[in-house]
Amino acid sequence: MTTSARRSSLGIFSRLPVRRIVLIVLGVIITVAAIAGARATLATGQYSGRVWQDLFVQGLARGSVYALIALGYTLVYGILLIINFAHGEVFMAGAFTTLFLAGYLSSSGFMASQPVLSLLIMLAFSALVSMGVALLLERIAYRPLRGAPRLVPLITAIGASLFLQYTFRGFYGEQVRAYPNIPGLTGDWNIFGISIDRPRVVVIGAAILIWSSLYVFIERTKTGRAMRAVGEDREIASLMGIDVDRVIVITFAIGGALAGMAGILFILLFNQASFDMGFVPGLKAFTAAVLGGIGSITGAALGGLVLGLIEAVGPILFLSGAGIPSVGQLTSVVSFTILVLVLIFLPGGFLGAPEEKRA
Amino acid sequence: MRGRPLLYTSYEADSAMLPSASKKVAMGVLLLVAFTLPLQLIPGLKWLGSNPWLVVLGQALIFAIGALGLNILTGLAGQVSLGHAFFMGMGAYTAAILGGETGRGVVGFGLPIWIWLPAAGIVAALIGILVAPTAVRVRGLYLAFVTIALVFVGDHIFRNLRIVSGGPGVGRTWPPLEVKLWKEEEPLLAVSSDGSWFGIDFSRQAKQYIFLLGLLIVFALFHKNIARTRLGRAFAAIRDRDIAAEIMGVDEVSYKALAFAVSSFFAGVSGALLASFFGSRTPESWDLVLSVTFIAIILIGGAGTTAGAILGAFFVVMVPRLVENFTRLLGELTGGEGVLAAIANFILKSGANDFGLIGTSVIGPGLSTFQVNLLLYGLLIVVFLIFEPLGLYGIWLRVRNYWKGWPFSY
Repeated sequence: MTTSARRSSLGIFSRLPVRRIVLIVLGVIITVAAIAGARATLATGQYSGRVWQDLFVQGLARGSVYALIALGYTLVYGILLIINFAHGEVFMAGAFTTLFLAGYLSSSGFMASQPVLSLLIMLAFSALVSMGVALLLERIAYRPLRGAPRLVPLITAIGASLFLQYTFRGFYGEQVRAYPNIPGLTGDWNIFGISIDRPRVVVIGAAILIWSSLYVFIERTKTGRAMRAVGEDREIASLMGIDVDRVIVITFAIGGALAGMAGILFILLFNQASFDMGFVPGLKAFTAAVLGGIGSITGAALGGLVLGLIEAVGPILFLSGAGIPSVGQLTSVVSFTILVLVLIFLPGGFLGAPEEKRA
Repeated sequence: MRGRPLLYTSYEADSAMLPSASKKVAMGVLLLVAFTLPLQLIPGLKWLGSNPWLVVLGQALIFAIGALGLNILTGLAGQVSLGHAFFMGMGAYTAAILGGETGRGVVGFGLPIWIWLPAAGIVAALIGILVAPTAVRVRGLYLAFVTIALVFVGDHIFRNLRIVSGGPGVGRTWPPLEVKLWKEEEPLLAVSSDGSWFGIDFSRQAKQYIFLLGLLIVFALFHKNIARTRLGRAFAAIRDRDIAAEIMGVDEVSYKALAFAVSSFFAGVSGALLASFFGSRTPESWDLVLSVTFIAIILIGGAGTTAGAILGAFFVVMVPRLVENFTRLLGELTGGEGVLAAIANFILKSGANDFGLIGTSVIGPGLSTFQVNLLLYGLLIVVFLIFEPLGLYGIWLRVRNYWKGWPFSY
């Protein structure tokens, strides 16, 4: 008697469709709040069309950086079903180390005479450094734990991430360091009658180029096919003669290289580097990967762009009208709210398959 | 049955809190040593009973309470949460509103500890229940990320609610650790001032240590009882395979909500105690680093075990002292010559242009002791997960089993 009474009191949630009702009500409230906030902001009319356009381009540029980092998450997840939490630090390692190279290029005058070439050198160098860090991570923190439950690598990754951050902090200091300006990348360019900051144009263009070459690599080359096969089923792939370890190493290498290049693009936008610069972009890129559907390459690009746009436009559009103070600080909160909402309402993201019910 | 401590003839004996006589004796001795530590009676352990070390131990005791909480959620119920700092902050600010004093732009009602301490836990637990449905919808890795969002939201709230938190970088006054009946001047049990208890003179630090030790024992009993009864088995079932657990009649939603509630209760109490113990905490101190520290504690100690969480807390809180001593040693070495001096020079950063990792001064280039700790926590998490997933508790088990079977330990 007592046990059945206890069970019914605990089971009350599962018998009523409370979960679904709560979710629907929550969804309606959020939608209404967002629309009301947007209306209130637009009604004040304190932001001109020029401001919105600027925010839009800024969002696209930031979004393409997120998209490149998100590709690293998505590639690794697609193959190993783990989330490389330290990916943000891989990004930081490349960008931060290249700072010294950039300083040298700038002071030797090479950057002034060959800006395009020096930008390419920086991209390549940063990609190499990040690739090295990603490979070390794979070898030290992930490979020994490949058979362990999926939560274990996540926690080692948190550990590795702390370790990398504070090693860099220890060696290079905690101050934010300014990157030298690349000559020729200041001012605006006029594209389709819209004047856009030059770095933003470069960032968006480079991101499109990098993303499409990755797409071709994955879809058209033999190695790309092997990666997809391992993602499909690791054991069967190894039976078919694919060296799984090699494919995993290649995946980490590509993810790392992308993160390194994203680091330089990020620096073109913000012009500074610090030991903790990787953490927040890493989290946001993860959000982008989830938003687009983790495991999907197109999804990562889509998710990155959408997140960048929401982040640039969202706080002002939805929140400033509602009278919330210091909206500018809220970009992290906005992107996390999006992450939570996506995970609750659309666990598969835009393009991914819904996650299986297992932990 | 003499000489066969592992032969249990009843279910009760198997799930007893201390299942063998030797464990009862060991626990008794341990408690005796722990409580008499401030009296400095034991020859080898006198240094540990000195006031500076008692402060370290006090912090470890508070961290142990919080770690026990996270252990329920992560170790027993298998839900990785990085939002522990948020719940601690919530508890701390609840305590501050109820128990703190009004003044300098912050509010506080000045209520006694028996109101603010439980309230800190309860408010955190209620927020935990609100968060719990997400854990049903969002699993595993994703839950870890969602709980990070809590820390960021909390950070924004704590910074901007100046009337409660005192504002970024400023902080506020916290309720002292004093047991009062109501708002009278003379406390019933003065914990935060020097004086005599039961005819023995104790320092402030010693009193706080004993008070916190008592609290930890209460919470450890609570934790142990959750772990070894129906609730703990339900949590473990959900941790090991949630679908199977549900088929066997463990209602996932309610039990996850319970896990979050209990864990947040511990966190809230621990946060309130931490703030009260140190008397100064800024809104920024409830950050992700604190959450990760707690993850480190339970992983280093051994996830899922009561002893592990407490061991881990002591280990993690004591590491800074070791680092300090190590740095001092390195500093002495750099003066000499030879290989050792070169190595010490490589690690130490004495000036802005010197290559090295650890700084010699508190402010200045290089890592401070606190930051070296973070680096070490990261390293230790990785090392422990790869080599000893059961943590310090696992090492203890191995050592014990070796001597149990000695001289036939293979």
